[in-house]
Amino acid sequence: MKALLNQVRAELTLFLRDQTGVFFTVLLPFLMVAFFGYLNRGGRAGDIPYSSFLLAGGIGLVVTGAAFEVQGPALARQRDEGVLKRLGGTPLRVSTLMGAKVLTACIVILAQSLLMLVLNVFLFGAEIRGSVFWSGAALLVGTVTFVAMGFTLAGLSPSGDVASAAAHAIALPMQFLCGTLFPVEAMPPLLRGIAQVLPLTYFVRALRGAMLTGGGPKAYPVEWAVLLGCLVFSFVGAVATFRWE
Amino acid sequence: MEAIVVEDLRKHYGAVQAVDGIGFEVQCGEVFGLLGPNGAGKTTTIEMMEGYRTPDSGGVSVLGLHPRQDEYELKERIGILLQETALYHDLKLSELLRLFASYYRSSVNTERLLEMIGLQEKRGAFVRELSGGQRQRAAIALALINDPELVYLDEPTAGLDPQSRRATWNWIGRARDEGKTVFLTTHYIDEAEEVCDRVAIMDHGRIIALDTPRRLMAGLEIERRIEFVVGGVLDPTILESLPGITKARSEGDGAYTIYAPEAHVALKTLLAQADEQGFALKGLSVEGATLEDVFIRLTGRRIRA
Repeated sequence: MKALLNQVRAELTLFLRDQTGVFFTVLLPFLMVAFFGYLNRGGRAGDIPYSSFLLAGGIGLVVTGAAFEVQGPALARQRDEGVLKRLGGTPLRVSTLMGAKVLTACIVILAQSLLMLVLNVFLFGAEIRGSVFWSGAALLVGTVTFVAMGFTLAGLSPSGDVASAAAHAIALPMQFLCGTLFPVEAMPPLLRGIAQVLPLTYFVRALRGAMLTGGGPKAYPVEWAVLLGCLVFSFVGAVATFRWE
Repeated sequence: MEAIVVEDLRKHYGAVQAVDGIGFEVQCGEVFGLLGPNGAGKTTTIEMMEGYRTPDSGGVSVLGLHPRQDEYELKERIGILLQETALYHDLKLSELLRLFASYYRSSVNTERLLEMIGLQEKRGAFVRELSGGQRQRAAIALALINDPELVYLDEPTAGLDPQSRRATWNWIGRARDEGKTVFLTTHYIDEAEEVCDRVAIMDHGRIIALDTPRRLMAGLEIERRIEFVVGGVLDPTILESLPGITKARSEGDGAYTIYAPEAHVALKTLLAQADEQGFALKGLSVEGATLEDVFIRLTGRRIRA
């Protein structure tokens, strides 16, 4: 436990000192949400106010940014540089190291999500009538899923640069197409089809449902099933592809 | 007591037999060096002993433990310096030391460690701000942070300036004084001669000689080269006719080189000759055998080719 907390503290320090991380988790999602929130202020997305719609979408951007685009490539980079190999020469367990990375992502994402909540509620008047429990649960499952996906991508990539490029190539379309900034239903059929196969779509829907209506897995069975399926799949992938060097 | 026992160890990568059936024992408290050119299989060997690589066949026992099966217990008791050490660039030196200290059941005082490597002033500096030599010192501190019984050093002074090399050798000596066992690889002749109690010479995945540096060099029957300068002019053919000198050559400007199977015999002759003929010997030097000569004798090649 002490080892885990020590590692979390180090990982958190590293995360905050990494400018790419700060950009993708703090700056980019908030810029996008502020921009789209301002453009569509007072507008509606389907039968709900756009600001309420945008809240879960913004958190979706935060999660993909922090978990997928930052943690994953950072792991591959540490492997490239030989940092992981050195850690492999100490009694530190892989499970402790990876657990610390996931916990770090959870802490960062939770803080960013609360900020996103404040921004949308106070600036754009988003209406929240949901369940704290199911919102938290969706956020947790989504975070772990996308962190594990990033780790799998890092494990499959020969180098940190490739991992970084691959993460951006997958994350950017996801961040636009998955019902984050625009409702999926409002997009052309082709893009709608693409959104259907991207996991972020299901995370954002499950989270939005929990935040706006309080519905959990019972109310959104497809979304939760896909999300949990992705969680198992990417967890196995992350474990199977992990390398110290 | 043996700290390390290696028996008929083998490892190949593709068609290359990196380690080809080596065996040796390292005693507790000794500094043991693996000397050889790049590509001889040194790093593969040390990494099998550290637990990074699984041998194809053969046995390794380290502190009575199996490097893979007893991985975590072993890692508590060893220190590692990798050939290319990368550290968290965005941590401060003191943060890095504290983090690594937290990985072990017990650790030494990090302040004392900073003092030992002479980087107290740099404790608040980011790792990325340190010079190459300072990073290497930090890496050595990490290798010693758990007060290990056994320290592995893979090419500990490669690419370092002379001053840092000397400092590293001092730390190795100090580690031995504290009763630690040190296993190092090197392709530097002087390093092997200077710090190692025993040296195994490795080439093409095999150990071709193993002994103390002194005995390895003494075992060679090679000619010593004696160089000197005189005020006047000497005839090389006369020098060659003297007892104990096999060959003589004028290098111009009164400089001469002679070759002799035994330096002390040739020197006696030379001094007697100088007395008799009344010329002064200046700039006298005798080139002894080095481990490089041992390697050349065994392989026909230089270590640093």
